[in-house]
Amino acid sequence: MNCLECDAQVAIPSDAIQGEIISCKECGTSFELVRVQSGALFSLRPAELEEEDWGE
Amino acid sequence: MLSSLSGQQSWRKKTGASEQTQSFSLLYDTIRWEEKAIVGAAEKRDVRANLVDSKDLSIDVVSEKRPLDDAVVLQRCVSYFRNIHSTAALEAAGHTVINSFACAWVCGNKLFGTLELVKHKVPTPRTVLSMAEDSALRSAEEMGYPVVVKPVVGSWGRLSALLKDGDAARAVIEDREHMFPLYQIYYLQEFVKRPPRDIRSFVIGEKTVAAIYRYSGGSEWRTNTARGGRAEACKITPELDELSLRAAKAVGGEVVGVDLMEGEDGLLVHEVNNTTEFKNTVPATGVDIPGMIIDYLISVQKK
Repeated sequence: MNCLECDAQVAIPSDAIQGEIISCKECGTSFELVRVQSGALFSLRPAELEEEDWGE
Repeated sequence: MLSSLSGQQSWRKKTGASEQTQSFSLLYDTIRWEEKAIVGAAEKRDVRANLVDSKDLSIDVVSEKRPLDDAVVLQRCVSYFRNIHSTAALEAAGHTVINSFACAWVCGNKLFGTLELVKHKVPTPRTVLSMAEDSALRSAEEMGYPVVVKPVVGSWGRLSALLKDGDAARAVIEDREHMFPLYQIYYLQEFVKRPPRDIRSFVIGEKTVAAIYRYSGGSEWRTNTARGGRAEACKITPELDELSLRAAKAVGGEVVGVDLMEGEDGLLVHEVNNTTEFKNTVPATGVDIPGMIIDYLISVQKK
């Protein structure tokens, strides 16, 4: 899978789950893993940045 | 029993899981270490955690149809606004949400949380509410510096400021006068004389299951681990146990993190967290908090 920002290869961990955040090692951009309809594969979408209402 | 509607049944068919397999919905917006650990703990117990991204969720609040297949929803949205609004809509539709809307509403606003602690006679630091620049400055002066000012909505120590004197107070409060109006609700709290640490305890159901000390990182006065605070295991003393349970009960919390300080006259509770994080607590204490959360969810089904 390729980074949406810099096109570098992005490795998906073998134990990855839907919604997990991963970062591109080349440019540092963070992405959220989105499970595609077919089930086993993920696509990437830009991860949300911390908002003022984030927390515990 | 947990609801076994279409989603769960089709999953059983695909996986061949037993009819006893239970499930719950885990509502999230960002998967942190905690959510992943909860999913892992569920798998170990043959419980299905159906991940529901709140960003993809739309709820017809007029329809009588329940939005999710599972009766029980574990609320794990990191966004406070998503959290309270989705919890309200899901509860109205008949779901059991942990933690409840009432709990999220109270815990998500520091003033409302403090009011509940006071109402239930849980010891808490002296706190004064002011709603304008001049009255806030007068309050800080009367309380005596240093004073802490915190946003009523916010977390991880974000925008909490230690006002050491009148000049610092004027600078911070003047800035806030130019921010969103919520920041002009001044929540002023005494700066409790304490060791350079506070305590975070974890209550699940009616049990205090773990506690850590959170030490301030470097020159930072805030102890939030999100600000670099360091976690160490803390013994659950009878006083800590009792106060943690009373604080959780005061806010109607089922799975909560309770923040306490070691004041000169005993422990003080300053906050209860309804979407508590525990990635630093599990390795520091060895307590399987994710597993205990799943066990609690199962017990809720059986009631």
